[in-house]
Amino acid sequence: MKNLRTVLLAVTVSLAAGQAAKGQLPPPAGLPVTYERLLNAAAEPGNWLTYSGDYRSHHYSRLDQITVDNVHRLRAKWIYQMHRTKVETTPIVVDGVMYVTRPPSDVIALDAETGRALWTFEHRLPGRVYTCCGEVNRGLAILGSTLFLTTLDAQLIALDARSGRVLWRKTLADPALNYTATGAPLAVKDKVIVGIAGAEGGIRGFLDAYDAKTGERAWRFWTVPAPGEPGSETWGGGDAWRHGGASTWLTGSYDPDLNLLYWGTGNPGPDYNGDVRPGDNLYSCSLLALDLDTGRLKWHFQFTPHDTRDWDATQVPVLLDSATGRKLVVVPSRNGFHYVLDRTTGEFLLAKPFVKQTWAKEIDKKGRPVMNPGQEPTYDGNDSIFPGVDGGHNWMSPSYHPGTRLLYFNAREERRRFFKTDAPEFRPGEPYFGGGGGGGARFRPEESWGKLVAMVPETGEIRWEHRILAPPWAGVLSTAGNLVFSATPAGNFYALDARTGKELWHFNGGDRVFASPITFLSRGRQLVTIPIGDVLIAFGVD
Amino acid sequence: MRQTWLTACCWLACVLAAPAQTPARQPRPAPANLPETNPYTSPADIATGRALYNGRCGHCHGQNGEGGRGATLNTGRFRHGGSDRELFLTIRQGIPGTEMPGAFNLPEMEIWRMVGYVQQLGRQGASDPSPGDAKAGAVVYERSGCAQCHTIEGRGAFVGPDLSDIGARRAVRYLRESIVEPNADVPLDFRSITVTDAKGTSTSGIHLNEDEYSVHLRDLSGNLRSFMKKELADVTLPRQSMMPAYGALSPADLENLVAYLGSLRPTRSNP
Repeated sequence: MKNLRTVLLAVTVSLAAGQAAKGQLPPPAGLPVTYERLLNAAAEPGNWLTYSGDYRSHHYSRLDQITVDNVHRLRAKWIYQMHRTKVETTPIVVDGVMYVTRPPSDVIALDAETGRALWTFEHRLPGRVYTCCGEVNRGLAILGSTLFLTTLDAQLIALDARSGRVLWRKTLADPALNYTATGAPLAVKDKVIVGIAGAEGGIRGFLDAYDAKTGERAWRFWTVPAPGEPGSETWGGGDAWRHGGASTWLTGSYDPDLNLLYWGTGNPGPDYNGDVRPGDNLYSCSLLALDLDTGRLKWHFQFTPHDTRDWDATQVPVLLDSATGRKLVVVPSRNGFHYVLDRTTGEFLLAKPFVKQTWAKEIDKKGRPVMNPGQEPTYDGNDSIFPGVDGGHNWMSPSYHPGTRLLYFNAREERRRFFKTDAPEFRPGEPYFGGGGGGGARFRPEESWGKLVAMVPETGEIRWEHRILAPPWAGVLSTAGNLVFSATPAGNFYALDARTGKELWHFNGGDRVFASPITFLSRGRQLVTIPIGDVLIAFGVD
Repeated sequence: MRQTWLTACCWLACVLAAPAQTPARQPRPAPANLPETNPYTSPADIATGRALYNGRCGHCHGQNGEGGRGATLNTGRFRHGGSDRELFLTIRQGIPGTEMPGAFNLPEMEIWRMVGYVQQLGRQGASDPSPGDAKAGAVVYERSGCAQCHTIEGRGAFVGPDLSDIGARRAVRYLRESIVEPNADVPLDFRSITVTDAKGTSTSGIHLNEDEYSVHLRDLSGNLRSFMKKELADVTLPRQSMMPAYGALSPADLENLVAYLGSLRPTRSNP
């Protein structure tokens, strides 16, 4: 019965999507946003219902009012001033209302047509909070009429979407011990899945599930096993596991047929000095497949064993099916290789570099890298390691276009310097780096650049590249209008032909971009938005 | 018509600026309750500060603070303030308009540790005198035509860096190297660029800004020029400095010129 209802709903929404293709979509559905609607989020292109657009994390829209033929008429419609730096948020949009976060942990409901604020929720931080990389927040989840927000002081807050009022708050972990939260939760069935951050501060990472109505914790998966648990033998037998990192600071994906969550984990700690943690350091730098109901580990795949270069594997995992129907999960990883795995079993199928990389001689048949010598941080500094500390890819959203069957993502070709210091002691409020990975001032600008890659995801074949001047931090959106949208560090928001990479339009927003574009309908017209600098800008065709 | 660099003269690779295509980060306000004195000054803190300095700062400021592409730090004189608090803010926020980046992503404690090590470097009280005669050096400066490209106290041209306070910003060793071997280090803010349009007309100058679509330069006559890349056949950013090498100067003239430049310090009109 339930399946029949789901199918009927899917058919109904698909019909609506078909009308959207003709520009005749009825007004997007409003609150409440049920789980059934989230399951079919891609079929509601007038809204943007999850961090990555749908559970498969395609960051793609079926909207096609803006096309390769009219995108040259795209104009700014409104600007919302955040008055904050480093805006990394991806909004949620429901029936003409945009729910967007701003640093450090605020939420604003905006009228999507005008950009005018409807309500604002400001979260007061309790004094100092340790963060490694800026006071950022990447977005929200919605289920029913409730928004879910994580905060820099490691809380999960449920807000009423109509009023912005707090329904409940839960503390994920003690912020005094360097736990913090920056990612957008993922609402699935009756649960809210929440990651944690702080691997630069010596946390022990985990992924949590909470009851969406009550806020009671349903399960926790520790990403660093305690002694005696499977994987604990990979930490050298000492106490390193207590501060082993492996955070979960980006949003994962979900396969309803397998009932599996796919979630990436961050670097082990200390970041750059691995002497205190001999071994592979499971489950750092890994992709986890967890049962949604129980949090039990179905399988894991580690991209970078015993990482010492801060190459988190938190990147958004993209779920797609091969031409033969095989269920795949693909990840362009921070370590510079694009990976293809069987998402049912975790079997390694392929790894192929998409940027210059020097650290791995090869990836063997089981997916384990064969290291090249001299590719570790040193006390004097090592600037021979590629990719750089920020990786070949990072938190910026990739996009999969089911029409072109191409995966689009931004890649960073970058030279940086890795250095090591003595292993730190864990102290509340203090970093737990054991080195660093910056030093960009020593290199010429030409040694660092960026590119938007259009890749055949099953094979890693790069179909075309769009080169940009500096390594980007922006995500990618692709649409049924055969467009790919992204932005450059110089502040240029641009559109390409998804089939050829030909550039069709751009707009100088005048500041760096750390976020991803999305698209939705407002009063029946397609808008595209992206944060540039500390403003959110909406674009539309007249 | 392709511009030539025959008129380019004394081009000192001195002033440093952030790459123009990357907008400067907005300065952040000082943290609330920022202490006046460094709370992290134990030997272990200083040792960590040294490691951080070596990894992040030493390339420009010298591993022992002797200066280079960045200012000298071993004399005890800090142009942007030498108190613990001032050094903290300089390291954290960088110096706008220069190549000195801010350590935005470093926790405050790590910055304090670097402050501790920089203060230790400053206590060396090193002096870096040139054996030359500064007064005679001023004559060499005029005779060599340096003012055709450089400015001192508002006099001269705008092609090369302003040298009004160069003695406070760069070590004598670096000044000497920049005169004899300008290509040893070309600061990002004074890189030369040549653009050529579809008709083959070339324009050269100093690279000011660039994004994916446009490039901007100041030509040798001081004109601010803007070009759309789609209208250009070629854009070249040579690694060479526009300044010719002055290796032919006699040893005495060279040392006198270095002494003169080293004597140029901030004045009231140029704080």
